[in-house]
This record gives sequence, C-alpha cells and structure tokens, in this order.
Amino acid sequence: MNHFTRWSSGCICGLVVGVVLAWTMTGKARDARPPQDRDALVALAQLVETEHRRVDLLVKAGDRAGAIRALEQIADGAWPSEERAGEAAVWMRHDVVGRLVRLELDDTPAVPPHLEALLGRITRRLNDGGGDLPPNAFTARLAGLQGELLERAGRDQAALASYEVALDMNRLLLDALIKEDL
Amino acid sequence: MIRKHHRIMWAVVFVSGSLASCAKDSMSERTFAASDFSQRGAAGVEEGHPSVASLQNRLAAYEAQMSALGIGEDSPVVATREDVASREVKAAELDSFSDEDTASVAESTQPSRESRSRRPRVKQHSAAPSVAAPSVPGPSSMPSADTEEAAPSVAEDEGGDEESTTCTNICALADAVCGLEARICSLANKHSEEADYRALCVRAGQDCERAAVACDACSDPQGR
Repeated sequence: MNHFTRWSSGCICGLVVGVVLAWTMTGKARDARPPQDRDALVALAQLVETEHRRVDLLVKAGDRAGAIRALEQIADGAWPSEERAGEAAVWMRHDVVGRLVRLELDDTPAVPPHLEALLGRITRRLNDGGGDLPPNAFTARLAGLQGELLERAGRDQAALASYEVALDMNRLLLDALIKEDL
Repeated sequence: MIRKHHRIMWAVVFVSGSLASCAKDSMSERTFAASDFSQRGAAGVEEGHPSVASLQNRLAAYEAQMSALGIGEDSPVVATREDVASREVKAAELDSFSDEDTASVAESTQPSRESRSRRPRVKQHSAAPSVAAPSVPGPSSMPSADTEEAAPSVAEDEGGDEESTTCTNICALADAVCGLEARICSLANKHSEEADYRALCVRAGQDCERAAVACDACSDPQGR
C-alpha cells in the first residue's frame, strides 16, 4: 500500500510538473485565430489600409483635424466581429485607435480636454477579444498609450501597470522575432 | 525508495512534457499570424503613389464591398463617413502635392532616428513578409505611422525577403521598447522612493538594450 501510494504520487506529481513545464517553456505567445470569413477580413483590410494612406496625406497636408476625424470615423464604424474576421480584425482596430490617440496626444502637450473619452475608447478596445489577445505590436502600443494617458491624468500607479502590460507584450514579441531571425 | 520515487516522477515529467508540447504545437498549426498578410494589397503602393482622390474612390469601393458582405448593417460606417462633397474639396486641395509628397509620407512611416542615443540603428529594409498563406492586404506586423512617436512600421517597398522583414520588425520593436523605457523611467524619477517604479524602469532598460543589440546585430550581419 505504501509502495503503491509512493508510486502513484510520483506519477501524479510528474504529470502535473511535466505539463506545466512544457506549456510554459514552449512560449506563451500564440498566433491569432484565423478568420471564419476571409472575404470579410480582406474587405476590412483594404478599407483600413486605404484609410491609413489617406490619413498619411491629410497629416502631410497639415490637416490634423481631418486626419483625426477620418480615424475616428473608421474606428467607430462598422467592424466585422472577431468570430467572423479573426483576431487580425481586432488588431487592425487597435492599430487605427492607436494612431488616432497618438495624433490626439501629439496635438495637446498637456492634458487633453477629452482625456477621459480617449481613455474610455482605449479601455473599450483593449477589452476586445475578452482582453486576451495574443501578443501583437498594435495592442502593445495601445497599452502603452493607455499608460501615457493615465500618466497625464495623474494616475501614475495605473499608468505603471499599463506600461508593464505593453512591456510584457513587447518582450514576448521580441523573443519570437529573435528566435525567427536565428 | 525515495530515489525510486524521484525516478518515476522525472520519467513521467519527461513523457507528459513531451506530450504537452506536441499538443500545443498541433493547436498552433491552425492559427493565423499577422505575417500571413502581405504588406500591401489593392490599396497599396504597387501602382505608384495614389492621389487622395483615387484613395477616396477606393475607399468608396471597399465600403460598398463591406456593405455587400453585410458588415456594419447594424451600425453603418459607410453612410456616416465624410460626405462626398467634402471629400472632393479635400481631394482638390491635396491632389496638387500628392505624387512627391506621398513619397515623403512613405519615408515618414520609418522610425525616426534622432531622438535617443540608445535608439537602435534602423536600416531601410524592405517590408513585405514573404507569404505562405494566400495574399491578403492587411496589417503589417507593426503599427501604422504616427508623426511624432517613433513609428514602428515596416518599410514600404515590396519584394523583400523574410530575413530583412524580421530585422525591420526587430528594429521597430526596439524603437517601441526604448520609447516605453523613456516613459517608464521618467515616471520612475517622479517616484524615486518606490521600488516597483524603479524595478520596471530597470527591466525596461534591459529590454531596450536587448532589443537594440538584436537590431544592431541583424542590421549589420558582418558584426554578428
């Protein structure tokens, strides 16, 4: 009985430790889930890409307000669901919102008048995908921008937490890229 | 007896670890990475530098395509966009400079090089990920350009190899990480008494250093 207890406890401990080690040591990063409807993703990607190019031109022409308006319209506009167009669709929205917030912040040196609205927008988007998206540069930038906004709002502890999220995500991305480069 | 117990445990660790790794790998086979996207598609640069008017025409076409696919039937973006008239005015204003200026816009999507001494060197690599999956015009693996932030973005020209794309992305990421480090450490300076601020600043510094070294190494393969 004693022998059996030892043997089985050894097996159970080994099983648990083995699974945990293998799962954590093979990297936390996962790729995005694929879209169910590829056409929807393609249409969205074309639209977003073209809008970015238009925003490039508006910024270049000095029409920052127009650029912000264009980004707001696309960010708040129709977007295919994550289930339909995959996580890449969420990343694209994070890219749009990240660029929008960056432009807004660059426009205002101190505390933007609609800081809370911007924070709300970012927080809403960071909760896309249940807040459990695989590491990606778009979401990492959004987390960093959230930190910047919180810092401007004087909420330093919360800002630090957001910066840490961005840093963690960037670290995983860097690990993956370095591995890829070897 | 104890030694035997340990042997059993480590044998099971090995077996279950291998099985878990295999399971994880097979799960990730059906995933979809940003690098599966090609860098530029129908809206892109392959036709040269599009004017604002042509971009707006394309936008309208893509919006129609989205509508046809039933995207946004509940909250139509298409109808609430800038109205056609204001688009035409802007197009007229902007078309005059579009050709040469889109070229400089393309340059502005590269990370700027001037601000920080530890900012990694960034070569002008070509950006397009080599695509295993069918080509979808979509996001690069780095965010779109901003004007003041060092915009982590991949380069504009197509046809580059996978290695240079990876290097471009490493350097863009290094830029982002070093930018974060600057913010975190400036915040930490305001809270110099608090250990968690200092710790994150140190960690960010290490990450920045590591990313910068990786960027330098891939930008200058001779130095590897």
